[in-house]
Amino acid sequence: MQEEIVRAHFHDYYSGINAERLYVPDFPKREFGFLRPDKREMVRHLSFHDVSSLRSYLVSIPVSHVYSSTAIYRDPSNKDMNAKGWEGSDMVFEFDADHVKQLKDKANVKSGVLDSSDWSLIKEHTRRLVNDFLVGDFGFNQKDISINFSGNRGFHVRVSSKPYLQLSQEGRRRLASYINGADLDVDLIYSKLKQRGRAKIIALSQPGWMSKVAKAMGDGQTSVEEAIDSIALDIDENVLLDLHRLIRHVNTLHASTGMMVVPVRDLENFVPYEDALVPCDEEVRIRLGDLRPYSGISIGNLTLSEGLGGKEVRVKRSVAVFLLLKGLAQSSD
Amino acid sequence: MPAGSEALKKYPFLRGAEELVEGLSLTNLSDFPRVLELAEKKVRYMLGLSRERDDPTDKRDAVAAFSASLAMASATGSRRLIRSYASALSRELEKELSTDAPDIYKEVAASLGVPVEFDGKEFRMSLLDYLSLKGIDNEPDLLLPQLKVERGVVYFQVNVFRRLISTVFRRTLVEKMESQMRELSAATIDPKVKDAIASISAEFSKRRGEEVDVSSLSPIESLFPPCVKFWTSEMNKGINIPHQARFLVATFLLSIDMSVDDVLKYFSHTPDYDERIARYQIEDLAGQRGSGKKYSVPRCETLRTSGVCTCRQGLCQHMTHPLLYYKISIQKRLNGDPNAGRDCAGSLS
Ligand code: SF4
Repeated sequence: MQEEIVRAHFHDYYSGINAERLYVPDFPKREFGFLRPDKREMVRHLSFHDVSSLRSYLVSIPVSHVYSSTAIYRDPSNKDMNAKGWEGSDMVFEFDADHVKQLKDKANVKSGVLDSSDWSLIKEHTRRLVNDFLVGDFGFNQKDISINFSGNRGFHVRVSSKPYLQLSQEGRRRLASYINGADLDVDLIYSKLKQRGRAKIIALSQPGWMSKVAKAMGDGQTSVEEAIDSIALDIDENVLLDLHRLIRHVNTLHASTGMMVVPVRDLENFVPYEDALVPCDEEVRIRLGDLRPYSGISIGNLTLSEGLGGKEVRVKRSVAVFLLLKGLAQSSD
Repeated sequence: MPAGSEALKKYPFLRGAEELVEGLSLTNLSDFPRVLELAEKKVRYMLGLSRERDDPTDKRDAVAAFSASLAMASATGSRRLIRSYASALSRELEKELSTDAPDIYKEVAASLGVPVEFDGKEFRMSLLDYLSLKGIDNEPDLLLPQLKVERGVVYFQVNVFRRLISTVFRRTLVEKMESQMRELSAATIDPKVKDAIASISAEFSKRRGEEVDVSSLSPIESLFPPCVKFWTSEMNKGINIPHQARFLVATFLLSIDMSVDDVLKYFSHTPDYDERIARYQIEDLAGQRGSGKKYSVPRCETLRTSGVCTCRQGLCQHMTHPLLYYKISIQKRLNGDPNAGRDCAGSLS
């Protein structure tokens, strides 16, 4: 039964979607990959001429994760990586709950259901990545930056800037090591900042890491280490370095949550468990499991609470799919 | 605009220099005895094999001698000699530049393919151009976090930019000489020139052999991050450690500039140690093999997920990167903190 609910959810979604929403720039030059939820086998090296053929394909296949390449290729469906004809790759920064140190060890985060304060932190980190690093320091144009909800526990920040498409791995590594602090020369920061009163001048005169650290140290209440720690973002270098990376395709469904990988225009006000749920009228009946770690978290219009554990409820199908896939409920029809 | 005579004498690689010496090669070098003499003296002086310095007075001679000296160094077939020569030339360049007004830097930089602007106070370059620079990753003060960066523009103070030029220069020379080395065929070298090359080569290796190996900044093991300490001590006990842990240890040691040989020593006690295989793998990680890709040290998050991280206390509580741990610990030690590098030390028996 559970499988049927999930299958119907995916099928109805892809049958009803406006295919244009599946568009990404250079669409025919992207490689696509599909992965079943059991993650056993990845079907990749596929490409589609246009968005409607992708949509038809999505309607026809079993429930899957859907990925497309950050790269564009002359021949994206060629199985030989070297013969694909690489023409460049967008830069992608994956940012989810695992990358926020305060969240790593929280029980609810580990099982993948986040509360609103968790989301605030992730959004705050994502905002810092975009505003402070990508725009403020690197000077990327806002219009070249897109943020997608990952469909589960975080965001993908993508920079599609023509001049940077062909940037080497070495160049990408420098960007990553800037953001996560790996290239920091802590001695130098110490020596510049240890003199009293210098911090203020540096905060104004040396934009970049120096000024960030100087600002974070404030009037000396915060140590240099703490300041560095509060600035460095734990981004995954390998995602950025991998020129052939496949990432979740926009407006497809995450096969472990049933939520949409939606573009996020207003990060601040984005509420994942509302805005990324597939709108639907259909309701199904489910029996809820142990909800103790999730009390107070709302999925759509259902607020989880300890008292609901073991109870049967009728909920919107997208809410049901989320809870079923997360193992927090069973179907009871 | 072609470079002026004075400039070419000091910087014999400026744009337009090559045209002055077209047709000169190791095949016909002995037809130009003065150039051969200058080139040989230059290599010897730069490598510290002789104290005699002979600076050309004519720009054409300067350019020809410079270009011939590179060819001669390449022809020795010794990577070590090539690197030493490139380092010496780049130090010299840095010195020359420091006696010149910053305005010339732009021209020197351009000849190395480094586009830059000077506003009378600072040099600036687009971030994209900066990211495309080669060979600067081992120079901490040339790395992005140490520089002024704003809205896609990177700024350099004059002395830092001088360092940048000389670093890029060094790399360019090494690449050039290594490619010459591959292309050269001994048969075409003039016998007289060959003799000169052979004697330079012999003296250089003799000298090198006598030198004691003083690696300037020996790695401070006691300040290594807990994970690296733990896994190296396991290996020391002769325990086979997981693949991810080996990867961490090797990439970490390489990234603090340890040589492949020194890194190998850490692995030599493991039960399944096979020097040939291990060397191959480590050279690969160092980017000295096929793909040329140098692997980075994994960040803490990855290490935690794969179970390689061994500490969650003190500095490691919020640590993002093992290299950052090392750097912070060095600084703490310099500041006299007795606990530097001692996070989780108790649990390491
Ligand atoms: S936190 Fe990082 S540096 Fe510390 S032990 Fe773990 S992996 Fe190593």
